[in-house]
Amino acid sequence: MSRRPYVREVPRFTWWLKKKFYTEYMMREATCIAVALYSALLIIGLIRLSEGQAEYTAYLEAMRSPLGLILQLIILAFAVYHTITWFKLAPKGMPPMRFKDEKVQPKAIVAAHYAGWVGVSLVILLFVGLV
Amino acid sequence: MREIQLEVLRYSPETDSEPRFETFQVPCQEDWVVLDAINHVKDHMDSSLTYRWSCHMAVCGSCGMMVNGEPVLSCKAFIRDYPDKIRVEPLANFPIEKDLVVVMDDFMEKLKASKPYIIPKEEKSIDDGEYLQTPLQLEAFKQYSMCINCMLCYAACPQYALAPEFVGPAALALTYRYNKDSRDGGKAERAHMFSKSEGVWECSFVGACSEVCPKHVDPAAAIQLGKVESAVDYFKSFLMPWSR
Amino acid sequence: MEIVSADVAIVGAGGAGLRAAIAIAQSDPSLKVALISKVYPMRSHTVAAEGGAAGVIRAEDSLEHHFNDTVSGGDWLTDQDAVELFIEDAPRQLTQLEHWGCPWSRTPEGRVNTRPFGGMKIERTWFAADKSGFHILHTLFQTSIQFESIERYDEFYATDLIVEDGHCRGVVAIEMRSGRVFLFHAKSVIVASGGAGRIFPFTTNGAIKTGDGMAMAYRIGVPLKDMEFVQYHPTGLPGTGILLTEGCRGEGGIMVNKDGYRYLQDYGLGPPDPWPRKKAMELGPRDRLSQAFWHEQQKGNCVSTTYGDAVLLDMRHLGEKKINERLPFVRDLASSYMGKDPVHEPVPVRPVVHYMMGGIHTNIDAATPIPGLFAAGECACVSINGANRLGSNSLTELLVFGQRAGLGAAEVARQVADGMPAGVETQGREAEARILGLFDREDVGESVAGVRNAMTASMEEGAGIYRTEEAMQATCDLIGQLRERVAKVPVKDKSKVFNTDLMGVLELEAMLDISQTVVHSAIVRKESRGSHQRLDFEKRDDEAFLKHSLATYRGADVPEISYCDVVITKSQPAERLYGGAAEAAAKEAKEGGSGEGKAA
Repeated sequence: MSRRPYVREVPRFTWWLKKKFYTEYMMREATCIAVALYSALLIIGLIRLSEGQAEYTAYLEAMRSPLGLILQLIILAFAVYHTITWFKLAPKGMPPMRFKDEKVQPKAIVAAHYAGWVGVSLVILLFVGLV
Repeated sequence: MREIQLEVLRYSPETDSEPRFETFQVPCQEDWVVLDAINHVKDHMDSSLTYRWSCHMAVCGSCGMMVNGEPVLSCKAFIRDYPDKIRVEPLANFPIEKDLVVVMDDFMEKLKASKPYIIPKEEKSIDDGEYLQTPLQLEAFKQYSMCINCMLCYAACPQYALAPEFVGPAALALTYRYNKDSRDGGKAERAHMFSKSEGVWECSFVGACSEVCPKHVDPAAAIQLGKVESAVDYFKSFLMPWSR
Repeated sequence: MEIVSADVAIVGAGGAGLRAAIAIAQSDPSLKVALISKVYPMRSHTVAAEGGAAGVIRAEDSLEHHFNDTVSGGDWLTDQDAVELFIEDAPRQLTQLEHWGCPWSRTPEGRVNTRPFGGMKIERTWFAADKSGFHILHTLFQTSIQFESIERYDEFYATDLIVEDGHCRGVVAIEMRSGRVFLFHAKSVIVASGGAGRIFPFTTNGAIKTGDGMAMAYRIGVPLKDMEFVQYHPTGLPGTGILLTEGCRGEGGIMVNKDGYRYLQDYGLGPPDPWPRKKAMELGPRDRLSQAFWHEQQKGNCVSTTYGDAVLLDMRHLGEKKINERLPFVRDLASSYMGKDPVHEPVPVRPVVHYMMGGIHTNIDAATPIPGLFAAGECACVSINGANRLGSNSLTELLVFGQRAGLGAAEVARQVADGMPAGVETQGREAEARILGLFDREDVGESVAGVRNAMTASMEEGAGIYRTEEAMQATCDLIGQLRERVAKVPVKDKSKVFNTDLMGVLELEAMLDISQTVVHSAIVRKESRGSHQRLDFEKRDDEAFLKHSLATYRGADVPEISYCDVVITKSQPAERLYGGAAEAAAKEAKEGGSGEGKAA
């Protein structure tokens, strides 16, 4: 038999460094850790609040410390990256929709997500009195 | 006229222990595609260069290959869009048969197992004419019927590279196409390939398949929507066992 | 040599081959079908057809209209019994495809929609946007997957048909991936291997269309019928030859010369207005439109492109919405390959070789004169296409006659006894030895590309849109020499695995045999009819040439050309009229009391 198909090996752990597109995908997946981390911080805050005024103040101070701010900024950056990349993919996860007899374009779906984001942010900012 | 350096991955199973690159200096017309340059090599430089091609109009799906690392149809990859050095390799994630020809048995078997044909919801005689299908019902699956089986999506999919048992983008999109056809009633028969862990659930939504698809089939969308349906069906089977 | 036994062997897995295979599998699942193709089925060239398939479905249309359009479109060289059968079966076949899932474009009510094509009185072309062939092929292929009795042999290159005791009993083919030679021993054989557009330099046809099946049948003594009739499609892209469907004009596109003038009105197709209207101007038949281009070229009215003269196909007035809905593929092709977006600019086009009306001589049951051998699709000549095929009849043809070939071959297979006659294997071994012998050729400086380019250039020169005795004789002479030269083309690639160099030599041998039948059939037809136009014999001559030519193989010698009668049932030859002339004639006929459509 003269056939001898050649199988090219795929690097099991570094494949995602070969292409920007793959790296971005790994970033998108990995940045979910930041979202989880921030949720953890909020839960810790709740626990501290339940423990009493002093504990909660200490928690707030820790969050306002330079280290706390840097950590939150990093988390924010990752969370924003995570959000934007998922917004980009949103049209693929939506069943086909129609508006006024026309197919809703992927762009419109992404735009609606951003609009929702801005809207929710505004409501929260209003609620905490920052706007 | 522009001269390019065409680097081609060569592999002849009878004489090479592993693939090697060979470089050809190819004079190209301004409007040539990469396939034209490869044809020029075959006609005038080395008649043993091996690759598949036919229609030269991006519809037969034969000439998919990696050009500068990206899976493309070489008949629609214009030289003008590339630097002077162009590297051509066989489609990634498939075994190399020879030079740029890959073995695609795996896909053909998965396609067959996916049952990509109408399993009629209700039998109808030819004498009774066509099934009625509104433009809206057509639109529900039309996009997924545009697949030319060119295999670019498999070459782009890292999941398929790591887990070859994955049914893969094209076969899943075609399954979804038949599931969504108003004339079809075979969804349950296709679930064994579609809704299983090697089916839609193996997909981690990298989305590269849809990026490289030359026909805008958007297999990633078909798979995500398939996941939603698969999940709904799963819960339905618990909550409403009579709906099965 | 590997031996595979089957009941029916089919060469070619495009539209006709798949339709035949399905017909056999449905009618008799006990029959084993070997479906042999040099490419995966979805690569077959049926995939490239764009516009659609003709079948009477609209209430205002009638079989009579389809019959008349087809017969007059073919310049009365069609066999009318075959046409009658064809048009009657057409709607059933297209409906069958619909039941199999073909995504035909629909009316708002959900019925199948139709569009007009050239030479057509009422719109009767079923279409799936502008990818009809693609959808038909994939529907057939995917449907065929469910039948266990169909065993596919993908990427097997067939080289020989085997005839034992006057009955076709098998096929020899090379398994491309291993280089092994296979003998498919069968009780009947169907050839459905497509046309041979690749014998010309500018063609809409893919690289695989090298006439292999036609040549195989020809070499075992089946005549090739009406080979001089080669269709030029009027709207291909210069250079690449990429097809822009007739649907562009069906949807209302117009053709203009360099001055923006709708030149077709000067060639018996006018007046230009009102537009669009059927069977006039841009919706005239393909032969007339291609010939008009030639005249415009002579007059210097063309625009020039890198790849020579062209005229302009203008679709701008259709608007972006309609173009996107009805002609998205055309927009993509013209934009990518020509740099012209039809929404904003006219697209340069020129006539390009598109289709062979001629082919393997069959009767209306798709049977060839050799018992057990059937042929269908472009490789066959029934003939329903005559001297000029009507656009959108070919996709329907491969369904109608693909099915008939399948049923006929199944019937024969049921009658033939089991077991392989000894002579079949002997012939298989001879074929194998001949194939392996090709590797031993010495390199004397000949190459596939060298001989092929000489052939295609000469075919364009001698057997193009307009032909002369002198040019055809030069081509006859050259093709004869090239047949000698091809015997000296070496196979430089010595490997067994996927040897496309070997395949290139075999394909070239086939193309030269086919080229020779085309030009030798053409030179003795001393008249002009349909796509066969001679500057030295400008008139149609029914007295002498209302008959089919038959080219018979004579080895190294030139083919023998003989003739057989055309079957006429109800339409006597008349003048082919389009545009205003046709309307006037119809009016006159009506006033004279006879029914319109009955040719005088």
